Amino acid sequence: MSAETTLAPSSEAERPPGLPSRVWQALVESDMLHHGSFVVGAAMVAVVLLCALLADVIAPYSPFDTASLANLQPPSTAHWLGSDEFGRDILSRIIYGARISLQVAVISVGIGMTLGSAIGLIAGYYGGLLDGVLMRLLDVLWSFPAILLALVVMASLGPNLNSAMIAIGIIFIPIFARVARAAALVVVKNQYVEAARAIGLSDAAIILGEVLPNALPPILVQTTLAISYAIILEAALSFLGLGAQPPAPSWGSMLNFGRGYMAFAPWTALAPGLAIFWAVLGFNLLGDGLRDLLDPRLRRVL
Amino acid sequence: MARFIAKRLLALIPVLWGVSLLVFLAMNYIPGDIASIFLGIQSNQELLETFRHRFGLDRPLYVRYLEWLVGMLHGDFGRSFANGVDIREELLKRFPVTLELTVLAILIANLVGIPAGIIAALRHRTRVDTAVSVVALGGLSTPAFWLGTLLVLIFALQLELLPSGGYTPLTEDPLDNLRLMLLPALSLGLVSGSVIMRMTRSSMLEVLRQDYMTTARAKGTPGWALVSRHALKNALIPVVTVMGLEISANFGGAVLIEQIFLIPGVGSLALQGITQRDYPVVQGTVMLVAAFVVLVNLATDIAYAYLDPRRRV
Repeated sequence: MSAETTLAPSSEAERPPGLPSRVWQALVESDMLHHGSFVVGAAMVAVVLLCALLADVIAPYSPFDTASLANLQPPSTAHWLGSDEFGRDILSRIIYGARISLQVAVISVGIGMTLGSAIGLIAGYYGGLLDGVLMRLLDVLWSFPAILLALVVMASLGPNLNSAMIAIGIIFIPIFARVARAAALVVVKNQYVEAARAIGLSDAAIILGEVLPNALPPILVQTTLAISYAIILEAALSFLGLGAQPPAPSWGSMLNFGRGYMAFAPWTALAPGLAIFWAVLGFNLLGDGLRDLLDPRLRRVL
Repeated sequence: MARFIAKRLLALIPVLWGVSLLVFLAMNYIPGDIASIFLGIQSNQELLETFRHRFGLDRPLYVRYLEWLVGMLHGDFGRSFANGVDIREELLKRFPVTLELTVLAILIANLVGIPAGIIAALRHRTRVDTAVSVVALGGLSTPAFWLGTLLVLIFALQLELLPSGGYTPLTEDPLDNLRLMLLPALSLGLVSGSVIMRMTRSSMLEVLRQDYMTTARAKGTPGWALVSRHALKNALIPVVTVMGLEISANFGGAVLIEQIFLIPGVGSLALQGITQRDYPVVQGTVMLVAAFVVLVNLATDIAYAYLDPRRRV
């Protein structure tokens, strides 16, 4: 699906001022700018990241400043995206909301990726009974639709941000385990492992030194796609009133409250929805682009 | 083939058993006492004791688990803490609702996704392909609950064409039922359709590259026959897998759509149980959903093995 647009500058093209010439040269020679999805995705993700990191600087108002006389105002010069039912500036809440979404997404995917990859690598490397048992256990997690699993975990741990991160993290364990296991199986089939054992390397050294590097590209692609899914899940949980609790500016809960005012103040629901869409689309494009870059074989088909 | 099915059916049992353990432990091994969580910490001791005794919470964990498990195998899912309703009755009422929503959604998804995917593959590297792919990526990046909200905004509030929520059983008034289910099914279906479209497209592209397609072309097979007779059947095989995954995802994920459109399905029951801390309800709904997902996976595996004899392991 990556349109192989020639976004790559030729070396005669203008180097953006301020960018060191070596970096520019590297970008030109690399394939990265060739792939529209990677570049556009990276740009979109960069916007979200900037919002999250620089929220204190770029947001015009505090996300908690209520002004009951100015509630449900349509977009204007004072409030670019309008104001919500408490008179809070929607644009500022969206910008701060990026922090919540990214925080939950990164931490939960981090949990899922570390635990899942570890399990997958071990299962793929040792094979046999261990592999069978681990995969059966993961099948149990696999047979829960994501939202439901998250709901069950949240019911157990209570509706707050931390349990949302754990819940979403648990959802990703089987996914990463499968990816890591598949990559591990490829390496094991080849002779690297036998050779390494013959030299006397320990299992741990082999897994970390031979198997893991092979598994990194698909794990990396899966990570970006998982982050996009985690953003949706976090929004879904806050939408249901679990997850980030009001008055925290979570996009999902903003969308939920905005729903009630849609008939006469649709911007309260549209803005957070667009924010979620932007972030998710950005990470999906990034993941797609990464996958195309890292797996030349797929490039021809996709 | 029969052996394949039998083996797969047997494999279901440990998985479902694992699910029952997981959900029971999640609900009952929590920090805090069930009685005080349900009734509120302010309740007096007597009330808590009565509650505990009434629902057998004063017995050991494994006894309660076994009792629940054996009960389920006999069709008894227990009663709700909140209103004493028989959970099995409630599930039987709500299951067809969510099932209908899921079926409608996957129908829409296939109607939209498969033709789009085929066209995109046949028009590879043209503007049509790029356009379809972009739309599909946008589609799957859209959260279904936002799409639902948007659809309500446009079709219910602005254009006033369709209702914004509610449910009429299919048996009562099919036309009204479909009218009410259209927007919810679209919310789920268009997102699933995007996923199916991408899978169809990449699978079709893969098939079109194969040597047997070149042979067929060389033999002089006309264009449409090339696609329908030779390419399509093989290309659709991986799509079946994705379809199964989307059906499971929609059945479980319908909870959000059911919230938005006020549809009394399994999802909203689960959510109710969770917010009210009504643990028997949560246990029952989760088991139902898990059983459904596991059976759908089985059906997908069987369909795949039927279509592709190489997979009958």
